[in-house]
Amino acid sequence: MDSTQHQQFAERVVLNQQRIFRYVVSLVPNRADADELFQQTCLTLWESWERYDMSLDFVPWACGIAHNHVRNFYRKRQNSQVQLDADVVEMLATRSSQLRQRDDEKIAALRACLNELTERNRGIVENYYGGMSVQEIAAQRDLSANAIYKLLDRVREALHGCVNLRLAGGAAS
Amino acid sequence: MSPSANVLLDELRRLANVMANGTASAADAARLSTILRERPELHDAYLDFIDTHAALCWEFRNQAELSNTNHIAPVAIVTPRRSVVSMWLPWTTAVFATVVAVIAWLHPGALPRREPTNEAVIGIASAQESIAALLVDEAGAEFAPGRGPDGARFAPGEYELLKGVVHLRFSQGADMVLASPVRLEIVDSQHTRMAYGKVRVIAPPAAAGFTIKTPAADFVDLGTEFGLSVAPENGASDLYVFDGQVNVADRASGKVLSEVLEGQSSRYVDGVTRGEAPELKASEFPTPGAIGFERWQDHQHQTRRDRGLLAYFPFQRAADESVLANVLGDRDAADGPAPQNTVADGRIVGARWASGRWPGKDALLFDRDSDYVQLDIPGEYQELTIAMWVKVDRLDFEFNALLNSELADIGDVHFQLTRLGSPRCGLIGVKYEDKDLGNPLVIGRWAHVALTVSRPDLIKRCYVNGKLSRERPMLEDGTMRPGACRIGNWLPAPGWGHSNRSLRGRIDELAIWNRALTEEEVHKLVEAGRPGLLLGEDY
Repeated sequence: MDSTQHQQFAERVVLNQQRIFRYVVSLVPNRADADELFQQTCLTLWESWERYDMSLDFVPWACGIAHNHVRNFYRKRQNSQVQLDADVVEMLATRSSQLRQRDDEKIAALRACLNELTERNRGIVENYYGGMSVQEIAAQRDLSANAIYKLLDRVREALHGCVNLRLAGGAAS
Repeated sequence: MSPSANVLLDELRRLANVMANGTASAADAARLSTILRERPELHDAYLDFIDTHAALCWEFRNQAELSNTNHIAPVAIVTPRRSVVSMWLPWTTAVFATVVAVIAWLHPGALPRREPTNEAVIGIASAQESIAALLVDEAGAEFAPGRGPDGARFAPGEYELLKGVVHLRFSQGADMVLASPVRLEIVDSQHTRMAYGKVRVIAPPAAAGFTIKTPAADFVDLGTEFGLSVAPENGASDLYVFDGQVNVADRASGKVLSEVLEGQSSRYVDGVTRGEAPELKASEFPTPGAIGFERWQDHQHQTRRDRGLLAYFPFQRAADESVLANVLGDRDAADGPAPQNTVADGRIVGARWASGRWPGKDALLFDRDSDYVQLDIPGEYQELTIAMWVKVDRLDFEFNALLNSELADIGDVHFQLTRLGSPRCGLIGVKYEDKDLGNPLVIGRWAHVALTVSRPDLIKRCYVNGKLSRERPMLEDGTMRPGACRIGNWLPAPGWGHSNRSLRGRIDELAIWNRALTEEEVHKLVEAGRPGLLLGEDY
């Protein structure tokens, strides 16, 4: 692969990184595990770029690599009962790779919806998804961990509804 | 939607939430699996909901990365277990830009963040400025606290290497190998200040002008390869030019004091020449290729003491070139008792010595039907592991032997590659199931292949580069007696198919244990013996 192709590869990587990340999360929802798998996937992509055929669609190829990592992840933890069954993950993997999630539009809608949250709720979402543990957030705000989990559940559902409404064109912008 | 469907959707969201929170119980996971298995029409709803969680993860990932940037892992750009960056990358800025792009992608917090656009490459160029160099390889590297890289990234700043050897690549293309102890400041991708230490610099034409400032003088590279040693006590700077030309310039005025050409050396103290440098000791300026070799050599001592090791062939040419030496016999008392079954040296037939994974490392080349190494593994085993480094040139046959018992008697062990490059592990006389779990090895690249057999666990496993590639649960127990074997070939059994199984490629290092190594142990072997940080993966 010559340097022009390297550049093209890099460009495709940058353009599609978000999609690959979200594909991994769709199969491994735990954010720490998903992040680890995403990074492993990136490493493998990076190592395999000479084997990438530039005439092929990048996303299915990259998702295939991510899928292998996810499969290995579940196989290593097969004794853990707190995870989806392997056949279900395979079904989801197939469907998830087919879905086009309108990634950029969804992020834009999500940002708008985040702005509609109360300051406190937005702060908790930011803290949680920014890497703080639920225990840390709970201690900081003098709440129980359980209360934080419940709040996260509610906010996630509210954001999900808000995002879908916006994507469907139902919200005044 | 019917009320029952709504109830189910509510339950699905509750379960998706506990999965996202990491608080799911075993019952939750089982229930979610059941719903998704029985109601495929709900897959989209589940994936859509989880995608909102995924989008939130992505949106705040930048922040999460920023709060985690204090770790220093000398090699690991991505995870503590893995390493990146290539020793095979061409010296071009374009490639460096790509490297930075990948880093930007892995660690979005570290670089200016951009939305994905068609101008992504422009973003890469601007991101380049924040990293002056990247870690390419290391052996035993230890940096002083607060004076090490961030992962594999060397931003402008102070660095102090206390132990080991490190290979850096600057964004303009210059490679620098540092042999500890070294203290230097990276100013930018073309300029460093060195307080003391020894470095070898290999600068392609694109990096002409690469400058190292020392207490004695400025050393300006004109596209070449040189070694520079700076004494800690007085800053005396010894320059050895291996190829091309280096100009020595006055620290203040920049005036060229001397031009040092290939094969020449110089010593400067406080801007004044003191003639030629002392005689060069090449080992003081390690080459990039020497780093992996050093790491492997260090690890060899550990390997030799490994529990259950039956035989260890490092594949280094001996005085008698027809002997493949098993160095396990070289154990001393501290290594513990020798294994019960002794494996003698191998006898090389036809196969020729060639270069191995690094300069100075040997390997055996098998490229004719008559090439092989004769080996005897006496005894009967409950468990066995065979691990080797191999670089395949071609896969000419249905089966291509790595290490095969001669003929095909009950208890024989066959370890080979299929025409597609997947490892196959056979135990003659035992029925099994077959599960392909990984991809094959890549032709033309060094790969680590390992076979583990456990009769008590009724399982055979094949690994490629530390990852499980094939698994064969055995349907029954059998015996395991490898006996007389051939490396890189097979003595065919009358009446069996695929009689020609000769390997086309190189083998470098073979180790055999009387126990089944775990995946983690196999992975450690790969880490210790990998030819460079970028190992061809099996995906």
